[in-house]
Amino acid sequence: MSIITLLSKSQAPITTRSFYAQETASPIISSIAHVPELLLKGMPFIGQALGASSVSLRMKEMMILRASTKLHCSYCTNTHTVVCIQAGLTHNEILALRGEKEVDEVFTEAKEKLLIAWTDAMSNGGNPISTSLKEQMIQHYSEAEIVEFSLCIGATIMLNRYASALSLPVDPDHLRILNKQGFSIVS
Amino acid sequence: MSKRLWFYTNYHCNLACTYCLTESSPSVPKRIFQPEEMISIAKQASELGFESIGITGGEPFLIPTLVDTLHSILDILPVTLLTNGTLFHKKRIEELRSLAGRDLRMQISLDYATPQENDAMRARGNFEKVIQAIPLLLDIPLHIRVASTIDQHTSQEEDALNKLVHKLGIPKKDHIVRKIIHRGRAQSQGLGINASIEELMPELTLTVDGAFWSPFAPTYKDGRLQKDLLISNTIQPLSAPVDILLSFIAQIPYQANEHTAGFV
Ligand code: SF4
Repeated sequence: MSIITLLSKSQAPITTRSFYAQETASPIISSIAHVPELLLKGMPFIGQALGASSVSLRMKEMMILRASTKLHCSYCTNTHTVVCIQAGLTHNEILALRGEKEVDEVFTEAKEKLLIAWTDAMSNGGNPISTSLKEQMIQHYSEAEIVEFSLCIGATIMLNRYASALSLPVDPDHLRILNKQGFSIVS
Repeated sequence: MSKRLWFYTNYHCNLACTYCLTESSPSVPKRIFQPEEMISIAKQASELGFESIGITGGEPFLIPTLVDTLHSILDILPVTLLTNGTLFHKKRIEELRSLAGRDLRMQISLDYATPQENDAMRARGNFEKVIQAIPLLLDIPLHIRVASTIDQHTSQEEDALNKLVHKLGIPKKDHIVRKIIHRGRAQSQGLGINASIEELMPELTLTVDGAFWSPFAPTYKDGRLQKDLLISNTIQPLSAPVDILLSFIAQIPYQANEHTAGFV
């Protein structure tokens, strides 16, 4: 149960209504709507950082699900398990990202494994990231990609803490999809 | 967008009218807008091209320093001040003399021509206090207007009210009649007309809770702020809510009617 009111479209400030496709919107939107100026500036950033861009949706969702798992954010883990399904990740890939299978057993591409290692390193509290991992990233990815990855992971961690602190509820439709697809619901 | 900027000085009131948009009463949280902040924002308003300031509440005259604040704001822009007209005791009238000749319009609520009808939705003794105060204020002299907020007037009630207002020395142009708006306590009581955003003139309105679409917007219902017409929680710098409002206005096909065209 969210600790703050999730505003429906008719309750939400007029300046935020364009973010509502229906009478309800995601808990992230319907909570930030309490501060319209934050939603107006923040959502375009969040959409750009987390949505498909020059980096594929598959890669973005890999990072988001992995970071959310590491941060123990039940809202983001459950929600992005569903988005990963929609983005075409396999059952085993999703389990591996959720820490329920070994990454090395499921992912075979070196570049993807490196991306997961980068996500793990960034999601590991304040611990420093090793020089060798940084060097590998520079070798395998462009500077623009490293920026996009790192901001995607950083923005995810921000939302993980936000969603956990406010106890944002998972969409019941998403819970049904998780059940149907044989994924456990993270609490 | 209107060139008048509104402030809600406070939310508490010595009355508790049945149709009050803000659920004001003596016991609600006061939510006082700090005078220094109002003055600072009024300066910004003038620089941004606003041409006047509106002040409402709650009852603004419950703020002891109101007259000093009015002087400071009047040094910057003309002011329209809304009051229930019930707190004009002798000492207050003396204090108000200092405002003579300043660019101030004071607007007093009076809904019906008899105490029984007028006080039914406001408070006992309200009618008497108002009709005693108006001549004293006109004598100062101050520019006084009368605002009548009504659900439904019969033509007899309307005639009687017009006669009374005329007798009090208020010209027709300074008598405003408007319908109750279906928000706040009026909504809880099933009173008033609906006013959609398309009908409410955009008049930026600041309260301690944030910046709102119009003075009809920062309403309270069941003790909770109605946020549907909130523009931003940020009120300073004033350019922040102004920018959001201006960029949003273009999307609204605004069509005012006679009751929603402005707060006065
Ligand atoms: S309508 Fe005005 S006078 Fe009546 S309670 Fe509300 S603020 Fe006070």
